[in-house]
Amino acid sequence: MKTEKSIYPFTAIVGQDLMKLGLILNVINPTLSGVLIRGEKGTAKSTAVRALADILPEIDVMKDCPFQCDPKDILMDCPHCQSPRQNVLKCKVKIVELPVSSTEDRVIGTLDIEQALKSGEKRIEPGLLAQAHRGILYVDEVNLLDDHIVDVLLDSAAMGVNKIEREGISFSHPACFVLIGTMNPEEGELRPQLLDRFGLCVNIHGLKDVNDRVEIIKRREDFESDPKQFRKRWQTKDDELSNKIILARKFYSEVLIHDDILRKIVSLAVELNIDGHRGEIMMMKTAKTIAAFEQRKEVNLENVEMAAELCLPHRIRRKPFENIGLDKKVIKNYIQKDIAEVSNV
Amino acid sequence: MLLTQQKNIFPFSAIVGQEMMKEALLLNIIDPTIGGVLIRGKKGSAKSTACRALKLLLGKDTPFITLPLSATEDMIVGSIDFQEAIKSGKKQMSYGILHKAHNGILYIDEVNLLNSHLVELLLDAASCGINRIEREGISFKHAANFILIGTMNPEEGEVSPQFLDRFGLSVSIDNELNIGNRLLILQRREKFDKNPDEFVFRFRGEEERLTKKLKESKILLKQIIMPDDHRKLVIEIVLENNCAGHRAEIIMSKTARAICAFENRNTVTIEDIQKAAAFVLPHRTREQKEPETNPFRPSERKENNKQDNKDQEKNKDNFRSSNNGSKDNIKNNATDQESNKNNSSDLTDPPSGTASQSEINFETGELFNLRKLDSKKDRVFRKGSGRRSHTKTKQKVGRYVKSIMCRQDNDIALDATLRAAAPHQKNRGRNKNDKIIIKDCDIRSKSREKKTGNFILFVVDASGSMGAYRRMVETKGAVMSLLMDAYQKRDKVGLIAFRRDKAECLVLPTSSIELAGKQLQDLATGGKTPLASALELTGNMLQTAFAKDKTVRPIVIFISDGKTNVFYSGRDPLEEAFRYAVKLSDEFPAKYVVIDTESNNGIKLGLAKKIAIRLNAEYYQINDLKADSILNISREVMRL
Repeated sequence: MKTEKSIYPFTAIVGQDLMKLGLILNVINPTLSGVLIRGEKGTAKSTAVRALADILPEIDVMKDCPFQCDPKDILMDCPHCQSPRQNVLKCKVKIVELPVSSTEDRVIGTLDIEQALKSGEKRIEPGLLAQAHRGILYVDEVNLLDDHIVDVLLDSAAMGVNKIEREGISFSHPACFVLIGTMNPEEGELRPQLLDRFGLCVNIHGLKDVNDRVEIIKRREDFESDPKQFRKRWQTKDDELSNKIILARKFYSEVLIHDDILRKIVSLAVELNIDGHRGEIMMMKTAKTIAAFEQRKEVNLENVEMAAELCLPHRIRRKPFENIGLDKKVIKNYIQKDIAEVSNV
Repeated sequence: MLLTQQKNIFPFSAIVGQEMMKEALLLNIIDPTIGGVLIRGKKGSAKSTACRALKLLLGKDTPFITLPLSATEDMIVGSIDFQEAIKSGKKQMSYGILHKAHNGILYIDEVNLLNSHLVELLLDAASCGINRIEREGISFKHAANFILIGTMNPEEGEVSPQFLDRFGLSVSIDNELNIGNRLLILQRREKFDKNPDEFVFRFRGEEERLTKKLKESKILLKQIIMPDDHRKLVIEIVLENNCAGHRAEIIMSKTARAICAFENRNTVTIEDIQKAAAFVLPHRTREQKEPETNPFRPSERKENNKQDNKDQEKNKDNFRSSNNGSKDNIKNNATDQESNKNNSSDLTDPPSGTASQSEINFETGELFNLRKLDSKKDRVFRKGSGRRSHTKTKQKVGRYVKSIMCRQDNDIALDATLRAAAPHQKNRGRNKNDKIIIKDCDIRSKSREKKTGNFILFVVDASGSMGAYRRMVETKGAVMSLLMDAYQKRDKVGLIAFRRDKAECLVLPTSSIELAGKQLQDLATGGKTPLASALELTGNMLQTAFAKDKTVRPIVIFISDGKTNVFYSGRDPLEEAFRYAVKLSDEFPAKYVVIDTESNNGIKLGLAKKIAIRLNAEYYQINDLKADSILNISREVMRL
């Protein structure tokens, strides 16, 4: 519990609205498949991800289950939940951190050494992917991750299943997680294939405004001198956001998206020369999630605009050696041009 | 032991477009002896979705087994069941993936990323249809006939030619361009996400119809007639396309038959054969052209962009005229085109401003050189790939690939040790609840493999003499191609350029290939040749590299004419350069390559060669200085 106290409140982070929105949207709708946060060092990337813990909603899980089985949907072969009368627990969505130095067996799971040596039994020792099921998998410096780990990650992120075929263990379990990665682009880019796996991508920069920067220092100072007090002060705001997220989660399934809006999304993707279809699918889902977050039943063009800003920067077919990024104005113009057209008709 | 619920699989018949891919998969169900399919395509083009959906179309007696990239050797071929051995003292097989996949489909996602060592196992079993197990005291074999289905994104590297040949068919897929279809994709996805059960139910009829059709085709297949003329045609097509071996023609006629059966006809037509050829030949034809565009290949890309843009314009027009009938069309299109023009000129124009009067920034010679590269690509590139970056490692890092008998560094392979110890437990007197008795002779160590991103240091002469005869253009093209290759192998690269008075490091060792590429494009040529300075700087950079990682295997590629003419420390420049060259090769065990850019016209001094001798380097002449030959050189070198 001690560690929890020292978490900086999410709502106390100054600026970086797009990053915060990206994170929140993923909490509301885990099928957005994660967010990649690109930025220089010291831009509150990691702080924000860790702070997420406070605003995460609660889910039902089977007590002590290594795979966080959903009581409504217990895995057929879950070695833990098969025994009758297990308790159901309400607990917050977990953030599992994947250190850059992780070994493959730790990530995907391996033979339970103790059991094997003591009794000669083959049993699985679940890895980080099992822990992250129904939760968030956070990789700091994701661009520095070892290649074969990236491959494994890609594999299970794509399939939603972690398949273990190693060291005498043949097992597979669902691994649906929100992948959150942070990286500093100065240290090398991410492979396009992994890039595409992240539903959303935000580029963040240090804040330019002097007042904002002063505010950052002030809050940081306050926080460090008395974290408890500071957290208390921001508690209501965090709670507000938390409630809003819970509401949005319920609301999401009711959000409608008009065919005209879908058409808009497709033509925007075509216009901007986006690789593959994942970009469009993500834009659609993101726009819907934004609408849900705003408690609206129908997706509007502003939602699409915001969704494009989050979903497209890393998917635009780049000229060789061009920076990852997106001209906001292009999207804005494109969308507003049509608003004008529509209103003319 | 698959725990996931099948209801959440997107139905095959709900996949929009990508007809080639869908057909290739279905043909394999009709006739499994076609031997699988390799689907090549960019990310997000429904490759994996289609393969997973295929599973539901298979009969119950056809297994669909997924091979994860992280699989270990023993799990693929099978091994002793240690649990059983410990409990009962009996040696019993625990079957591997190859056994499970017998008479079924073995599916590998991102097949190009599969460890080469596992690829060999698969090839071995696939070529004789039998999996032989000789390990841990068991000798066993079983039939292993499986259909390989793989997906890959060619941006991430290639597959070896032998492996490629194992896939009966191959298809390259691209994005759906039709806006209507794209919209349909989105709508279906939306419905699927909202209510998967309902969505699957909605397509159940179609899925059933397809399954029935496949069954009928299977029966019909036996009655298909192939006219003799058509057989000849098949062989002619294969010969014309210069395919190795006979597999191509065999698979092509099988495929043509399957197509014929699927279309519910009795006699194979020429169209069937043509269609089959499109599936069978692309990955077998030598001197083929890669259908994909490469992320770092601006010249091709430019054309593609133009093409795409044209399509887009068309699409946009359709869309607009049908929907809003806006009158701004022409105006918009005009401005769009103008901005396109600007964009494309950005690609080729060298950035201005960096070049002073004595310095010229030459364009990067991609267009010519890389086009050349294409044709050679198949033979050279694939042979080298996969091996170059692998190395055994003694540290406890890297991927555990297999277990070995000798003991090293306490990096014990527990699973293998247990398997070795298991059969002896009874003899060693273990009682029921005792701990396992392990003796020294049981201990197995992990053999690990790590990708040692090679460090490639380019030392490029940017003096005035390099400006002649498009040398710099070609050099840039070559280095750029190497950078692309380095991206796929995840190498680190560094760039030193020397001109005027001294050498300077333009790119510190980085895995950001993009950064190196940018610097290279901006590299201006002019001034004298400070070779000694370049050699010294190379030494400094190698020293840092070795200090960071002792196992690094740097490759240093000098590209120069060797006509050094800058007094570095008051001595004769050439002597100075020789001295540094000897020192460099003595101190740092790197692989050195010198590429001589001296022209053949006029008097030859052969200075670069002399330097190469002192560096103990491999030496190549300017005549080889075509992008593809430089590339081959470094690939030869890196294959070690």
